[in-house]
Amino acid sequence: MPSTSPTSRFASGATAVLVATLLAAGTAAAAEAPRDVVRQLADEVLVVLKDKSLTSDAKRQRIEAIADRGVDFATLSRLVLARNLSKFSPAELAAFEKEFRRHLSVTYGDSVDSYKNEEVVITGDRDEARGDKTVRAKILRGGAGEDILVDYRLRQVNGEWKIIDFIVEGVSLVSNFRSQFQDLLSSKTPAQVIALIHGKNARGEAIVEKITPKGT
Amino acid sequence: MTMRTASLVIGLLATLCAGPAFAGEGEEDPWEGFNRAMFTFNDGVDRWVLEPVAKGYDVVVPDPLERCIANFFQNLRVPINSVNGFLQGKPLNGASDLGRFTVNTTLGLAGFLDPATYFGLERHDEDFGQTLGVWGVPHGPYLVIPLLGPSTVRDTGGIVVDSALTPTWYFLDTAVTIGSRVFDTINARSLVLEDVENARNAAFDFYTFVRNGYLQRRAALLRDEKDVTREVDDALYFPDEPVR
Repeated sequence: MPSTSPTSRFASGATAVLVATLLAAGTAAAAEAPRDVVRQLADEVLVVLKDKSLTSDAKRQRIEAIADRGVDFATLSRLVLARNLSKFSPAELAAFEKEFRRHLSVTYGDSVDSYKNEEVVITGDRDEARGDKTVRAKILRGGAGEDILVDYRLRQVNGEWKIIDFIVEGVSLVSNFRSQFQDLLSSKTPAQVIALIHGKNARGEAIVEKITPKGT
Repeated sequence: MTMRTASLVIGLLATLCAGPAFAGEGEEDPWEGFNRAMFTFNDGVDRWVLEPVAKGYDVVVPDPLERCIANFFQNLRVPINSVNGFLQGKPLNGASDLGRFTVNTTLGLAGFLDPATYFGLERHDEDFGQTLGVWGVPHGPYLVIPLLGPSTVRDTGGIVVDSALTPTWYFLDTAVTIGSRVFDTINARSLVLEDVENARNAAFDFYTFVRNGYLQRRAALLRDEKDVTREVDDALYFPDEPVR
């Protein structure tokens, strides 16, 4: 039988290796645990922050791209609106999501310049209700101040773990913005609130551009 | 047991089990009108007096020195952390804080340095407001105190007891104590110039931002483990989304 020939032995050996590799890759993808996802994102962000050859603007853009992959802004926006969600038309919801994401980027984007060699350690994770996961991390600030505890809440969306909330020292971003929008939406329409975020973003961007003029 | 004592016991148990109400929807703020007025006052004092002074101070005093000064004032509060650790039935934390105080006051040169953290004696942020919480006292309505800032009825009681426990009041002149308190505040403010500015920029309603942040943070401190409880999760992460 030709199956005993060296060529076919090699072929079946190669197939075995290939299959084994595929299987390994498959299990690796399936086992991409939430804490690995957070570790990976944190590492990517730290690489950008540490890169002295990048301008603040370039850093901000790269971190935004990382955030877009790691954070589920659609779910985050819906959680922020909670029971006010029913007041929004699909178009308004899309506009809200866009402006809210922009708001987070404008307000937290400045911090790329205040990076002082902080490091991130993952300290644990925890199962939450209905399949959610919390990954706990500590931001080590060295001599620059007390360490900061951050919990990342993740949810599996289409097979991928995405961040849906940041809990800094026990303060949830979703809860905090929910409470602000709750107040605003008790007296304003969704359209007015979207316009308000838009205006604030435009002012924030103007300030950012004044500090870091384009082309420098 | 009569009906009356039975209902009394049940009522007491209910208070004990109630625990910290979560800051989110239905944040307790029945005095919002008064609170907002006080908040505007405090915010004005900060913008027009404290922040400019802290900015000037920050220019003159280098950051490492600011942190040493912050360490010194924080060290003075460690005995209070310790007492409250014991009162909350956490003798190990209370003892560890006593050790921390001893190490930092001696090796840490009167508390300006913090070798205790290096030795693993981390600070336990306990105060009498939290002690009352552990004993089952509900936090009650949110309250903004002039010059002191956000609080609750329970935490206000806590502040009164903690300052009675502060030894400096008995040893030093009142003016000196107040003066050192003002200095502590300016120094602490100079360390968070950027953070406060970021927060002001991030907030759509700074009053609500601070109220929610304060209540969430206090609830987290009371839990010690910075965990969010299961009931909270459900309201926060699975709001009943109406079918459209």
